[in-house]
Parts: sequence; structure tokens; C-alpha cells
Amino acid sequence: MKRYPNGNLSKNLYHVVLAVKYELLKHMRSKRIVINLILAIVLPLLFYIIPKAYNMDFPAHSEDFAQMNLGFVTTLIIICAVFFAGDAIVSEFEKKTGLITFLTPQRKTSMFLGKYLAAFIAVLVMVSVYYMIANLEIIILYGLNSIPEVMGLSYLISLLYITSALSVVYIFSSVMKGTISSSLLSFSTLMMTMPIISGLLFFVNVEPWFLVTYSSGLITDVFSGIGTTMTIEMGGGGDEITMYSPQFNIGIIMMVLYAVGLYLVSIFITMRREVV
Amino acid sequence: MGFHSWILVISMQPDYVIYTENLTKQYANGVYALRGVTLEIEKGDCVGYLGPNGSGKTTTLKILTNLIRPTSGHAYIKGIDVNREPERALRYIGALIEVPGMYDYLTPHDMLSYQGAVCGMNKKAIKNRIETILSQVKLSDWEYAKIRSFSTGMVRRLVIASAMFHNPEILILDEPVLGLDPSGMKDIRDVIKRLQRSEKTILISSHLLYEVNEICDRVIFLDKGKVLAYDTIDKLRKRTHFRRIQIEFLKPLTKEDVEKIRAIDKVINIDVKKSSVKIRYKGKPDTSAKILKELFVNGFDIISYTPESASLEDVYASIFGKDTEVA
Repeated sequence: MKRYPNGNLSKNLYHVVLAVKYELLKHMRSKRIVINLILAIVLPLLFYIIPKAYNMDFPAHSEDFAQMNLGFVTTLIIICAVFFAGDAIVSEFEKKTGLITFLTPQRKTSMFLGKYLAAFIAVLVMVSVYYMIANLEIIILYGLNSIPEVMGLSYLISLLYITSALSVVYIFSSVMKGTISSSLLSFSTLMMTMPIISGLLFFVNVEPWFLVTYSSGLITDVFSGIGTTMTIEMGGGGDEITMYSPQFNIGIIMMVLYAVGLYLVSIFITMRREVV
Repeated sequence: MGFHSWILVISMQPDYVIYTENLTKQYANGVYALRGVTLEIEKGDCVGYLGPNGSGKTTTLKILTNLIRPTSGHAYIKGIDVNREPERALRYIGALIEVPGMYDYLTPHDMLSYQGAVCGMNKKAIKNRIETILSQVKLSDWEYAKIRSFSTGMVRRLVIASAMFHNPEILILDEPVLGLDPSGMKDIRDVIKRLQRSEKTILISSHLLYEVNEICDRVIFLDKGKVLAYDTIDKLRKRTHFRRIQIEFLKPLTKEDVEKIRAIDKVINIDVKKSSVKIRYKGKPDTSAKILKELFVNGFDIISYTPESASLEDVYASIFGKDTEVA
């Protein structure tokens, strides 16, 4: 009768798998998958179609094309993370579905880990589609052997960035009362607030190494050289801005810290939260 | 609570499948929802949990199902502290709390399969159980329909099916017939009665005294977070100060007649229908004889005079000091 004869670990893992399965079912039965899939296909295609339509020259090297094209993969990751994880925690409280799921004999940690993994899988699929199309374009434009060697590294960094972005979204989902406010705050934090702070810190010559959106620059920096710093003179007054780019080790550590740290904090908050 | 006192609590309460010890709940806004609630419910009991809105019924049920934590005190299910070991305790519980939100993109089949899988049932057991349980709540024809197409009553029946799905020893039901039509109410009542016969322990909070009277053998009255009374319905009926008399008069009553009856000492409330009157009075059975004398003194022609035993409604009114009809 029992499916998990090997004790609590297998039972908890089984509950995680169940949560993944049902969360993915939710994504598939809603329009989220379709909307994000369209985005994952259209965004990289624009970098091929628009120059072709206007007879513009493509970059001379495949690395430059890859850097330009994959510059938007972070945007896709943020949009997908908000779509797939924005309501993961908050909706259980807001829509009171928790009055069903929280009454089942399973750990909330298993349930929310499953939801997190389901969101990761969904975003992973979208990002993979983006990379596949970008690589197809490179093959068409530059030939079969032109795919940059660091493409795989860029892909792996973007997978790490998915986990960081999901954890940022999870934090808002765990503290906010409504799905819309949680999603909006997550989106604006990753798309606007953090990049704006980064930009302002450039002006005062401070490297924003602690911001995960800054670290995400590694996804495209691998094509041109990591950690290169440029100084630009502003106007004629001799003022200078330093354009930093993230150091590989620090960037990776920050992404891991955001992913693990914020995930754990969000789960801690969720465990304390009551269904009032 | 230290380890030894914890052991003591468990060893002192071997027969209580639901036991709460001095539950107190104060919300963040400072409001006390519960003030030292102690409940002792034995195996096989079917207990009605009654009280006006805001009395703390749902708060108690939420603590018993670990949806919220008590500010102080403990809640035990079969000796397991629910808030310390929720996963273990919830295995024994099937619960319906408030009006849950539904994953409306799922079908009853999906929802119940998830429920069964979480509880460790295999596919064959889940399939059989889905057939049985959906037939009990009359949703067999809707097994593969999306829940978003369901009416309120159907959703309620599905949630009850979900609560019963893993065949729990204890059922905690918060307003189980809320939103159901009379036939739906009867269906659920029948299901609960069947469960009661199979020795399940059932705790039902409800505003519908008729439902509780039909289903439960014990009731707990709660007000302002405190237990006011807890006993069998029969014993509470005998103890109540509120009683009723059904009287048939020869002629229909005038407004003056009604006022005369209302003015009789100990009469709390009267319900007039042409020439018949239902009087609710406060007192012992001999008060009924005094009322009868008063009616004769006032010149009423009485055809029949039937003192009735106190109903659960009278018990409710007696305990909460209400002289009006309750829902």
C-alpha cells in the first residue's frame, strides 16, 4: 500500500517530486508556458530577423553576435522567474489553497522545494530554447564550427542566475500578501531597482559586486573577457566613470549566496506564516 | 513545557484523541481569540462546536490542524503535539477549514490522486478510493471535469471528499454544509452519520443547530474564546433554564392577547401563528404550571397545552442569554 518504504527521506523526496509534478501541471494548463515560450523564441529571432530585414551587417565574429544576442537572456530569466514563481508561496495564502495543501501530511519545506524546482525546470526550458535558437543563428551566419567555446559556460552561468532570480522572487512571494504585488516587486527589483543602483554606483566609482543583477553580466562577459574595467571621461571637466564588469569568482559566489540564502530565508518566513 | 511534564500530559490523556490544554491565541492586533481553551474529546465522539461569530471556533480548528500556532498551550491529536509534529498528527486528520481556494485547473481525479499520493497510497488504492469517495459525495460523473466549472455546492462536496480521502480517524469540519442546498446538506449529513457509525471521531463547528442536533451526541459551547459548556446534548437539555410550551387557543389571538402573554412572568419569547403559540420561558418545569394558571386567570380558552423538552436551540439561547431565535 505504501509507496515509500525506505523511511522519511524517501517519503520527503517523494513529496518533493509530487509538488514538482503538480506545479508543472499548473504551468502547462495555464497560458504561462505558451507566453514564455513565445518570448523565448521571438527574442533571439529578432537579432537575426531585424538586421536581415534592414540589410544591416551582422557582427564580424560569432562571439560578438552571441554577446549581443544573449544580452537579453537575463530579461527572459527575470520574466520567466516572475511568471513561474511569483505566486508559488503567496497564492497559497491569498487564494487560500493552503487550506487544502497545508492540511496534507507532508512537510511544507518539501512542498515549497518542489514548487521551486518546478519553476526552475520551467525557466530552464525557456532559457534552453533561447540558447538553441541563438546557436542555430550562429551556425547559419558563421558556420557550424563558429559556436564560441565559452557558450557552454555562459549557459551554465545563466542556469545559476535562474536560481538566484527565483530566490529573489521567492522572498517577495513569502512576505507579500498578494500575488500581483509580489510579482510586481520581484520584477521591478530585478529589472529596475538593482540595475539603477548599479548604474548610480558606477558614477561614484563603486563596484556593485553585491548585486546579483550585476553578477549576471558574466553570462555575456564570457564572450569578451571577464572582469575588464573601463574608465570613461564625462564631459570636459575631467570627471570619470568607471564601467566595472563582474569578477568571475565573486560573481559566481554572489549568485550562489543569493540563490541559497534568499531561498532559506523565504522558507523560514513561510514556515512562520499563519493561514489566518 | 519540560520533557517530564510533556510525558505526564500524554500519560494523563490516553483516551482523548483530541486534547487541547489551555489554548490561548492572541493575534497581532492584540485581540484574544482563545483564552485557555481545554477540550477533551474521546475516540468515536461526534462533537458539535458551537458559538457565535468571533467566539474562537475556527481559531481552535486552525490550531488543531497547524494552520496557526497557539500563543500558549498545546493541541494534541492522539497524543501528538500538532504544532511540534504536524506531519505525524495530520496523518490522522481529515479537515475542512473555512472556504478553501481550489486549484481550479485540476479535476477531482487530479486533486484526489495528489491527496492519496501524499498519504502514500498506491495507484490501485487511489483509483478505488476515488470511485468510492466521489460516489459518496455524488460527484462520480464529474471525476474528469475541471473544478473551475463546479458550483459552490459541488466544490464543498469535493473538499469534504478530499478531507475523507485517506480514511482518517479524526474529522475536523468547519461549517461543512456551508453553501449547500437542502439536498446537498442531507447528502453531507448522511456521509457524516455513516462516518460516525464507523467509529470516527468528529469535531464539527456549525451555526446550524439542527445539523449539529442531527449529527452530534456532544456539544461544546464557546464564547469570547472560552468554553462555556461541554456535555452530551441530553444532559445540556436537562440543565437548561429555557423551555418551551406549545399552546392551541380556541380563537386566533389579538394583539392585546399577545401582549398579555408576553407580560407573564418568566416568558422570554413568543411565536404566534393564528391561534397557536410557542412560548419560550426561563425556569424549571413547574414554571410551566404557573404560566398555565396565569393564562386561565387572563381568560384564555385553551384547547391544548404541551410543554416541550428543551431543544438544542433552547440550550444555545440559555447559555448565550439570547431571547431570540438563533440560526
